[in-house]
Amino acid sequence: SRREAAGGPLTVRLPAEATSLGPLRERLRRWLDAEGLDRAEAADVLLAVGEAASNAIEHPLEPAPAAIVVTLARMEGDAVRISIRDHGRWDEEPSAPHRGRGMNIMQAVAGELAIDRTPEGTTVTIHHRKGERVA
Amino acid sequence: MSHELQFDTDRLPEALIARPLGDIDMAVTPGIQADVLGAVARHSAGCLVVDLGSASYIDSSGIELLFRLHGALAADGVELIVVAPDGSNAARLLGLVAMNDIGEVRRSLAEALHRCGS
Repeated sequence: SRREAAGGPLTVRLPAEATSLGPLRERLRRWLDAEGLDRAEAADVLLAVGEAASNAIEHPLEPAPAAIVVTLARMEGDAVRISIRDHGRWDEEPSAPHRGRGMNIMQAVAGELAIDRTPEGTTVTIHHRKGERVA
Repeated sequence: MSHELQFDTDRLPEALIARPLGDIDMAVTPGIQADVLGAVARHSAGCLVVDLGSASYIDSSGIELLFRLHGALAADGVELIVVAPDGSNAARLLGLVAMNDIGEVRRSLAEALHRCGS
């Protein structure tokens, strides 16, 4: 069946709450399908983003009252670049064993991963080249 | 605030089977944990099989759930067997990172039930 024409970058802004994770996945699933990622690749990207978004929700030491997580997804040639930004300050070290596990999983499936911490917030950037199975 | 994830249960002589249906993430894992432990208690099950073959998404929160279930059940002498079929999201996840303390993992329900019965 013919996929919808790719529609350009995706921006998702959602409250920094656990109930935002499902809607984020749904929007990203549709976008990844439109951009031509196969199911296995899309699943890896969704897993990396899911871990990053879960960190953004759980981690901030001083979450703002109306904290938002912003997810930006775009294609760069045949690669996907997705950034997940929160506006809280993270623990430097994962505060619970399972968050450490989440970090390991993210690193295992993301392709290239960058974590940029500033006083204003943390941005996780995932870069995945189509056709590459990373783990 | 969490929302509920549906799961099927099957009570067999050798095991209680719990099969989450849908996405497993940190929004739903507290509810699943409570519901599954409640079902184990109601059915007086000696062995719990968590069949992850219908999990359309699962991440480290799901592993944390298995870890907590394993600990809670071990305290009551109940065994936990996890089913992660080949090609499933669960199998992909469990293959990525080494972990222990989540109980035995099998690739099929039949293998899991055989383990429970032994």
